Amino acid sequence: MNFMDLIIVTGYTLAGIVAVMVFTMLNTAYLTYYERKAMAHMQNRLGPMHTGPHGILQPLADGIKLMFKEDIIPAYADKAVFILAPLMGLVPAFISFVVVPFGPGFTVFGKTINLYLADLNIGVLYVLALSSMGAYGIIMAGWASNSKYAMLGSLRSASQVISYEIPMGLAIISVLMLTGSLSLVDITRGQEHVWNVLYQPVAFVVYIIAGIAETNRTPFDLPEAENELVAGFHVEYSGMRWAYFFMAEYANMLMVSCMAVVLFLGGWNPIIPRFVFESVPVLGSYIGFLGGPGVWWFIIKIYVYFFIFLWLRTTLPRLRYDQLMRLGWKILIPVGLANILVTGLVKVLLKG
Amino acid sequence: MSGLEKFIKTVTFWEILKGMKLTFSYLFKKPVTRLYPKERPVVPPVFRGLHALRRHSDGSEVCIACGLCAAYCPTGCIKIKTSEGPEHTKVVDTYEIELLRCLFCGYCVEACPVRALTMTQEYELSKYTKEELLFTKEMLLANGDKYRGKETFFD
Repeated sequence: MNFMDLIIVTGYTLAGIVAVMVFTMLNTAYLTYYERKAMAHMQNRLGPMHTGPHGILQPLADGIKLMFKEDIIPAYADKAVFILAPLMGLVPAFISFVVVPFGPGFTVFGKTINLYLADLNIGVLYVLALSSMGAYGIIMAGWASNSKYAMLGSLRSASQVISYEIPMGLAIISVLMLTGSLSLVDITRGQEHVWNVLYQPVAFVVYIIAGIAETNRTPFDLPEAENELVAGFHVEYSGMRWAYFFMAEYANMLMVSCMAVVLFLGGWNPIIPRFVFESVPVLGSYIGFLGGPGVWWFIIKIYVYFFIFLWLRTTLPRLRYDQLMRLGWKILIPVGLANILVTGLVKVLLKG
Repeated sequence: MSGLEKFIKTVTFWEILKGMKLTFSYLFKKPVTRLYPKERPVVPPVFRGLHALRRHSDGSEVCIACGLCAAYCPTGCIKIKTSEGPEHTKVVDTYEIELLRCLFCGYCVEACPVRALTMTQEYELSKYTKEELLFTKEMLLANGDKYRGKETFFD
């Protein structure tokens, strides 16, 4: 490789990093808008309406407001840890997007451009590891704030994240047994004809529940139960530091959606099967553009999956703490284990 | 409900799906929100808003300075000072309503024997200082002139 090639590769990688960062940042901002709007309409309200047409600039206004807000550090807080905690939450949430395969890639000037930053052969493991790293930020925030509500919130969050990591891992293992690879790109390629959700419906349901609990969303939002713990682990935070926690939460939700799409819903593979395009005459002319796999399918699937989060949030009340633990340890883990057993059995029987 | 039916309903999340169906149906209903500064509510004529003192058709004040409104007021927010005028009549010197204390019950209007006091449809009463919400006789008369001939509370 000569010097010119090195520059091209570096520039290409940097452009990819910027693209993924922009995608993640924009999504964390606009998922709040999506959530507020969708939830408002489900509750017979309108949601944000004043900033821009239908409140489309609301995330920007929120961001500007939070940036100029006073940043308070409590007098008895552990300053170093207090400052570090939001970053510990935010950074793992953002860098896990490195392995997400957004699209199948395309060829320009004889060079193939992949729409993912890295195809790690341990992609799934990497994502799981980083999602558990997020718990450190929460625990550090709760401890450093020196406030009992923050402490209670962070303790709840830590135990919840640890408990629900197991069923989530079990649900993912049953998918990995089908594909035989930990690379997210290989998993997506393996679903070209049939999505994994058809083979693993039980694992998908376990994954949905564990994913909601993992990101501390209603009905599992005990760590930040607004009406009992004020705001949970980030009570003492304000301004931009608080916004970091919020961004981390939404980035985590986006990551859970991405993982669900990659593992169960076919990743970049089209939602509308090819034969529909071929049989319907109007769609037939678009087959070259829309019929194949692409980024647009991936993004549509993310938003559809994200809707489940909002939908459950509007529908269900919060669980009690013992109910949460019982659901995790006594129901989801046995179901996940049984699912693995059945998957293994079927695999062995079909082979023999 | 038999045990099997209950089991099937639990496993398929039957009750949760029913609830989700309901919330989803609300997604397509018309929101009830009124975008307030742009869309204004229709205020009924009998609305108990800002007070107003009325005038006779020749321009003189209706109020006979009896002080019954001040006596009836549950919060004591009406201050009225009177003195003796020409031809042995009673004249209003000052008439003040402190709107920060007023609870808009309308007893003052009901107490008035000559219907000099009424309440109008003004409801946007937020101000930046306390002094601005101390309504004097002139201000109340001006509000009465604004609503002259219109149907107001207790008419």
